[in-house]
Amino acid sequence: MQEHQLYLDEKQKIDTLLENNFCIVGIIENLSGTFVAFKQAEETGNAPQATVQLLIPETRKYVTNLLFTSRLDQSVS
Amino acid sequence: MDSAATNAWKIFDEVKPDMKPKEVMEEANRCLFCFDAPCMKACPTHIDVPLFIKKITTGNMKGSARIIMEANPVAATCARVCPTEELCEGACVLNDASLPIMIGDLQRHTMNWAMKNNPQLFEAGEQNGKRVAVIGAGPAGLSSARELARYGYQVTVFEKQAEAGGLDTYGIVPFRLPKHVALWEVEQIKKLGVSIQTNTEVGKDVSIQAVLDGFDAVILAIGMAHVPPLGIPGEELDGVFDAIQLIERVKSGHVTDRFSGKKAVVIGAGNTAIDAATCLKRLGAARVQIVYRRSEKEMTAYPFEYRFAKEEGIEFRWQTQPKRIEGDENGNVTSVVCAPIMLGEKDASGRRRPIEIDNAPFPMNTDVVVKAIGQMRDVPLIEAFDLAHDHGVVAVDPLTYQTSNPKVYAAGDVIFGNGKGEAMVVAAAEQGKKTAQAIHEQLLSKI
Amino acid sequence: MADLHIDFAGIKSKNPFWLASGPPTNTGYQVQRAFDAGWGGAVWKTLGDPVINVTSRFSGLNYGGQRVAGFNNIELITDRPLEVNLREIRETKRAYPDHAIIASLMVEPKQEKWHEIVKRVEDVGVDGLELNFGCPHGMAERGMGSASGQVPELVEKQTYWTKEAAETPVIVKLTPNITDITATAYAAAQGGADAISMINTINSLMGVDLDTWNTIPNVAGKGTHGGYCGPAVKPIALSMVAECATQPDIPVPISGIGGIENWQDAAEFMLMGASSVQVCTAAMHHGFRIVEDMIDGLNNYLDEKGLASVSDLVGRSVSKYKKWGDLDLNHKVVARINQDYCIHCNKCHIACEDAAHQCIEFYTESDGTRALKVREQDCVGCNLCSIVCPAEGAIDMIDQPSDVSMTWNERQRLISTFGG
Repeated sequence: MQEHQLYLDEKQKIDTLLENNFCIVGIIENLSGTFVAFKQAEETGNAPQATVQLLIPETRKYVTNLLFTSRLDQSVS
Repeated sequence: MDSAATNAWKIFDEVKPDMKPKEVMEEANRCLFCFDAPCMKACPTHIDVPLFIKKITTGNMKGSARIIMEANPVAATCARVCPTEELCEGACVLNDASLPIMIGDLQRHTMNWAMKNNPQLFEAGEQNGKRVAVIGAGPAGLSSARELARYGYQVTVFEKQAEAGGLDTYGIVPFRLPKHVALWEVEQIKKLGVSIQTNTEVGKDVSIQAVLDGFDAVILAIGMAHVPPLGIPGEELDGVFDAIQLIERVKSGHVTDRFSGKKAVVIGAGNTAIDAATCLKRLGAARVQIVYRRSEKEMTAYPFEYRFAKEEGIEFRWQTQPKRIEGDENGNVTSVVCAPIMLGEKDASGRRRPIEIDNAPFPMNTDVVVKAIGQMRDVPLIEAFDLAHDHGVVAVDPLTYQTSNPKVYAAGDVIFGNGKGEAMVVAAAEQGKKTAQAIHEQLLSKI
Repeated sequence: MADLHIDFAGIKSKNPFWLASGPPTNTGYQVQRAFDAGWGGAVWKTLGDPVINVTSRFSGLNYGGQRVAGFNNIELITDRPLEVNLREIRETKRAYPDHAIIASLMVEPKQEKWHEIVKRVEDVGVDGLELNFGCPHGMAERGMGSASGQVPELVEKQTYWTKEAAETPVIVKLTPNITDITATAYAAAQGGADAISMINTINSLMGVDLDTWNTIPNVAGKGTHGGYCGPAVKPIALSMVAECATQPDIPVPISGIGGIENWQDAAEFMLMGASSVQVCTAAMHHGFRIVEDMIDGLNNYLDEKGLASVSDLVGRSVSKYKKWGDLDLNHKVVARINQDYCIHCNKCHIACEDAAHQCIEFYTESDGTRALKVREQDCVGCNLCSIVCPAEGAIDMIDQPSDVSMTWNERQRLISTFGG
């Protein structure tokens, strides 16, 4: 098993969305994994949305780390 | 003073004591149970060493015996005579970290249990209607017979000696390998329905044609023969012996007083020379010297054999070449005249070539001379089978063990030589197994 | 030379090593021999109404050819009359005034019973009392030992009754046969205990004889559960000490008991909050003389660490003991194989392959030899390979740098703000 590759694949999805101006607007965890809801930051009302299902523990950690560090950064700044 | 004969029961007891029960458990528990263990790979028969040792620790002795004998039908013998420090124990991963596991001794422990309890470990396969003749009931022949019986063949083994076992029964000194051990292994093979016809020499008591015609396959496992002549004057004198015959007689229980207090010279420095020398010592010889024309480095005896010989008080005269044997007016040996040797460049065998130093011969006073300079081949029998060979070493396909006659296979010492393979009981056992597998593969399509 | 003296809830002892209540402290003869050997204190074999014992009583758990990895017993409290024990305690205390003698007590859960025995025992000059609320076998069927030790109310009440009569410090010895030992530890503290000690023995059936199908040990072909102790229980005992030491509402000293065999075990218990330790099985296995290396080894260790007194060691690891949710999820270690020390037993490979994350692989070195390498990106840092590795130094667990710490609790709080 090469779980690291699966992690990279899932991480890629998140990174791509973030690079395309999406931000995380919701996280739900259940027996099927972590579901991360994204919404594109747009002025107008009907912003594109996306949900990514994360299966790999390392990615589930990654996504919360992103939020955790950005929150830390905000509190510092 | 006790005569050698009355002391025979003692002097020919196994030199090495069995492991004590606590020793066994401590040692078995020390085994790391390696994965893909190097000891297993280093064993020519690939015994699953970690597994048989694990079974000792759980008290599953029957399972332990089965694991060992599955891979090696003459494992009780091998536990006693294998050069383990060069094989399994030499490969043990603990060599560098602490001390290697005493695999040989643990195997001996399990095999002692098996000899005492006689569990049914294997069964003959369902008869497939094919018949195989095995010529020679030594380790290679017995091993092939056991495997073939398990495959369902009807196996007949022809053995010219009175008892089966070959080298194991006749050729290894009893204080290293008691005869009953080899005979127990023979019994295990007989239990599978293998017919072993002793006192039956192929080519004499039964014709070669009858063997070739009467069986679907023939395995030639005749080993080697007696020691060749030295080719020096005085060889016919009374007091000159053949090491193989000497050991054979001792092994057959023939204990004599005639060496008591005598001086003896053994010519050669292989394992047989050491067996003969230590045997003479036990028979009461006052002084036993081994003479060898090369040096300690070139000797072919295993290190543990050499150590044992020195412990037994055997003296070694290196770089010494016997030139002639001298006797008295009654034809009894009185001395061996030897020439000193210097060692030159390496020869084809990779050993340094002995060069005789001229005009410096010296006598060694002795009553007994034992020849142990290798073994001859039964060339007449090989030629009677019309098999291709090189100086009596039968040529075989390395994978199928088939000789130049596709119906005839060969295994064991009869194919050992010219730098190929190792003349070990364990190697013979493996070749027997592989030959059986090859025959099975060849004949399978015809079943 | 560090100072090994301790003052445990007012009980003074020249070193922290006490014999635990049990067979080695059955008589004055034994306790005096122990003091001669160097033990700082002894908890006398539990006193109470005399009992009758059965034979046989003990059994050992052997592992990999080693004797007594674990030990179990179905022996009860002292079977000698109280007067005899008290006489010997008095004699021993007189002969060894600088050694601590603690009387272990077990009576029915009645106020007057506790008052009576406390008074009689203190009269002979003991330095302290230890209430045996722990033994899981025999006495428990009579409502004593662990039967009362499992009920926090009974622990509190009996401690209180004892304290009503006691003039010397009262230690409450707790049973591990309970889901949460802090419940009874708290009850003891509420009852006024001056200290607690743990653990008593664990419910156990040592084995079944495969030939006779009898229990091990057996009494005329019948057996019963006994109390389990010895090296195998050390991790259980240590975690219970840690649980109590980290609770602010259990503000009493702890005497650590359970599988302590040497100074290293003792130091671990002390680091985790015990300020004295008690030993029984190791003394039963090897005799009292084992204390010599306990004292010497602890002394050398304290010197090496630059600590002047053994009390400086106590509790130094307590703050490191946390709830799982407070552990850093971002901390990462990976296994690395040191080829200079690897002996090629391949145990790490098969352990990882069969039981972990399949990330230790064979490769062929330039000289053709086969070796093993960790695929570090898939290594979860579980330690299994380094645990099974028999070659010291062959597998290191290497810290991987991480930027920021994030615990599970922090993460869950974060997610909750995102609707998770």
